[in-house]
Amino acid sequence: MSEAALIEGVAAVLEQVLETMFFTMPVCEVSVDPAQPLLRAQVHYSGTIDGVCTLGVSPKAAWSVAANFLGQEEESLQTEQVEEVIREMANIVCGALLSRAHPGGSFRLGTPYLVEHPPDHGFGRAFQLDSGIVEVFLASNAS
Amino acid sequence: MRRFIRRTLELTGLDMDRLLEAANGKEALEILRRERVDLVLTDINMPSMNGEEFVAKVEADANLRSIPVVVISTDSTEQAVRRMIQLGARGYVAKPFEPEILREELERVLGVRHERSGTD
Repeated sequence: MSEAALIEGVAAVLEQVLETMFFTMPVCEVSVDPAQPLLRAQVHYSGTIDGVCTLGVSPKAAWSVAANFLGQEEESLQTEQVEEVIREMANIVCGALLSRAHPGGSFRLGTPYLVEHPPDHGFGRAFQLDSGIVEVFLASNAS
Repeated sequence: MRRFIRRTLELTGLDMDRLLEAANGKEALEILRRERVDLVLTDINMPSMNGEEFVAKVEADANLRSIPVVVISTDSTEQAVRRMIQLGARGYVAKPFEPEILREELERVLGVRHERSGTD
């Protein structure tokens, strides 16, 4: 039930986060080829519910949202800056999802870090952006 | 995040003489002890010393506790806000936020501080 509430909120949260802080919008929901390369950042959360939130962004979109977030030209960005922005985005999305699904809950978020793959269990939703794809993958420790 | 905050503050049009930056709570405490600072904006999730520890240390220091601290966090649950206010934070802004929200909170907190200074 808890994880279902999180999954349900993904579209609204992504729209709010992307529009407010990354100056882009999801266009529509899409399915993602598991083999597609994504820059992924993962955040562990614990408290009212425990689990892990993994945010994946296709490379072109990652550079685009990083440029928007930092107010810089894409050409001027270093890889480390883009990775830092994607970690921050994962942190914001995860926190906003948990707060929306469980406003009376209590959570601790870990420090976001980059990963190659999402967990082997859980649920993901992906959305098309102008510049690529963003995917949110949620796995609760109970599932 | 610091660069985003700096840019957002510039967008708010708030009149700021200068903006000092610290990478974590430890660095921020060092700055507070040697510089005159009107307000602190801090994230919760930081290396070395996180936002909770930082707010508690500022509040515990008689020389620093008059400096208002505004917390920026991804956690907008009631418990998280209440906890930070209990620790000593004067304001709280949940990510994601519009520049106008940040401006309003900073103005509110600075207003509170001016009133307190007036009664000292």
